[in-house]
Amino acid sequence: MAIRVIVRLTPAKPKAGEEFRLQAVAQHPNEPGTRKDAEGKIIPAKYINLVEVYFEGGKVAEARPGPSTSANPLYGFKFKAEKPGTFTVKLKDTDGDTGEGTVKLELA
Amino acid sequence: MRATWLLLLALALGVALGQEADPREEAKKQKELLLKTAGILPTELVVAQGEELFNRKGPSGRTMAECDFGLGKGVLEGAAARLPRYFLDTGKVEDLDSRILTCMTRVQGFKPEQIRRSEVVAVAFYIASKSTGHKIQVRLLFPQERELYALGEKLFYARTGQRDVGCATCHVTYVGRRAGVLSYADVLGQDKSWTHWPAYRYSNDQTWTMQDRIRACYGNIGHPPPNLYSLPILALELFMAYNNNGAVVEEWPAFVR
Repeated sequence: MAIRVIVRLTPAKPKAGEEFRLQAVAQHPNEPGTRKDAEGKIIPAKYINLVEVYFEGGKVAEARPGPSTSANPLYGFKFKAEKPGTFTVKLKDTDGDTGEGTVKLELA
Repeated sequence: MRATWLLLLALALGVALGQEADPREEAKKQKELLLKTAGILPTELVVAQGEELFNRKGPSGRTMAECDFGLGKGVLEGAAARLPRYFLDTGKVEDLDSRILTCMTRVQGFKPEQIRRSEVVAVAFYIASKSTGHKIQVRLLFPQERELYALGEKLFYARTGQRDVGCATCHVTYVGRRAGVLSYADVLGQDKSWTHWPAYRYSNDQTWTMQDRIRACYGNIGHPPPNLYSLPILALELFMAYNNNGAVVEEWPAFVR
């Protein structure tokens, strides 16, 4: 199943040369593999372990989060605004499920 | 001397308690903080999930756009603000949750045991989000609606359970006082509580509709909660909605403590 992702920029329309944050929220349980269910059985690990940010097709950032991330995590990246374009955030979890979210960068 | 100290202490305590922030203001602050730091509210994820589920094809090959939520097939603008209401096709009064259930089983062809509550809530969040800014307009047109309203009124004022209290004990008699952090809402009056649900509760990370809220209320007063989609819940919802008629929905899904 695809991971749902919403991506936003803060500020939404940065000026050229200004720093801005790209933030992505994913809907994901992020099971660390250490928790137990009601019957005492261990819930298998399933967490996002790869976050990639692409700008106009080229990779500009990558993060490899571990199991101790909260459910429905927020990932933030700082960039400097230079030219308008499209950011794509790609996620992958330990089961191989992927998710993708895009946001357009427009300069003020 | 000692009496003076005690007096001072009491005064200091009074000041400290008086300075406590209004929990509703606090919820607003929390929301702003979240928007500032994350830029995205958890409700938006659930609404996005609801939209996907709404446009998902069921076993019958149809999406939820084929369903009538009260204003015609696929019309969602303001539909949630006019629920609960009587539906001719089922011959029942239905609220948003039960109408979604009807849609999924009757139109989309899901079996009742296939339907997950989390999906119903997500769709409810999505449909409710289309009623932000609308006025609550619930009518008592059909005899079934009037009958259910009467039952709701009875249940609202009835006292029951281990503590011999009912909805009205907190939400009419003790309005403004509190047992927990929040003071009791004036459900039928100025607080217009019907417009506060469905909501995301940030302190517990829960997505709730009014059905969950009513069930939790029954839990609080030491009474076994009625089942989801059951008659007592629908009756109470119709009673509350009708008494909040004319209230403007500030934001659905709401963001509460």
